[in-house]
Amino acid sequence: MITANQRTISVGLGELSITSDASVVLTCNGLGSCIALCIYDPVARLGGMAHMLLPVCRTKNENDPLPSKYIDTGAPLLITRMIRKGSQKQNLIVKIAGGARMLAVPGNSHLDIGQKNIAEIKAVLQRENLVISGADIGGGFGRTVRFQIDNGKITVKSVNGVSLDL
Amino acid sequence: MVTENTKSIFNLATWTKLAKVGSTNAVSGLSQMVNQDFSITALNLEEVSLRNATSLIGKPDDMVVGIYLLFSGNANGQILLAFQPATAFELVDMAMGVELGTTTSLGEMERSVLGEIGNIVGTFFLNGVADCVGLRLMPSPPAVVEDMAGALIGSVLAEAFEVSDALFVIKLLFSSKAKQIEGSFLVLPSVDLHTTSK
Repeated sequence: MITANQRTISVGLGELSITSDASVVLTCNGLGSCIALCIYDPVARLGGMAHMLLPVCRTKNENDPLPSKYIDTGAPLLITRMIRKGSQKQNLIVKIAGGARMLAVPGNSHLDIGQKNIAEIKAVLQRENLVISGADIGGGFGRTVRFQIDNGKITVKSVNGVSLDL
Repeated sequence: MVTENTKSIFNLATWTKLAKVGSTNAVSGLSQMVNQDFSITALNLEEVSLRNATSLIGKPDDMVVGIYLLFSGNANGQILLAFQPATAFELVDMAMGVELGTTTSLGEMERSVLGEIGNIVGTFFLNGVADCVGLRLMPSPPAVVEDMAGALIGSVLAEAFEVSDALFVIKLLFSSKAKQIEGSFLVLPSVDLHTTSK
């Protein structure tokens, strides 16, 4: 629940947001096969979220207006920007959500995009030497993620009504 | 594979015409399936950016029922029919010939009925397009999903946005005056219309 002193910033498809404003709650609404990457730095009191659609960028474009559309570019970008804003890598707490398989049409592997996204985010974070300390991934249902910057609390609410604190 | 014949249909003016023919056919199929007289209330060929994509079928947190098909043949793409849950329940009731309000949730049988509605609508659309341009277009079996609009549309659009930050979507709104049924019908051709129509 949002209190009177909190304000919500919705992180849309392909977007990322970083803030030190303790009144902010970053949200990813209606997450399906996409991945929400949430990184919290309790020392710098900084939080960042990226809402990533696809695993790998096949056509690198330096001027891409939505670089966090892809996990292989978006996740490192979020980490780099947090470090630029004063975070130290060893202080980062990393949590992920999403990667569902929403559309089960027989014989169409591209609909397993959720699994590909999960594999890619794990690989990228491993390359970055970051440990995933909380995750709610996979399955076949949508999720909404809320990330409170004041205390780093991340809550994932599933479409079936289950609410999980990561 | 994009052949010369296929490529020629991915022209904006041509697609606008095809969208009208296909959509009229699709709504006719829906009318027959549920025994109600549906009409098209809006038909647009829209360029949709990734930022706006989640609002195509509702707010990201809104619950929707989606019927999803792929099509293949001389051209590939995706078709999505989306309804508010209450509307989907009414469609099931109409198709089953039972009193409105009978269906209150989606079990196996209700999903099967909605899948068949998607099958009919998708096939009618594809046949309309195929007849115009002499292409062979075949629908896949349907997938029926009840979930958040953002979760559904994000998954549908994932592949489509791999090659572009914007794509053309045929968006059809239809309604029945008698029952105030409204829904969205999206067709996403897999070839990049934005580039090829320039």
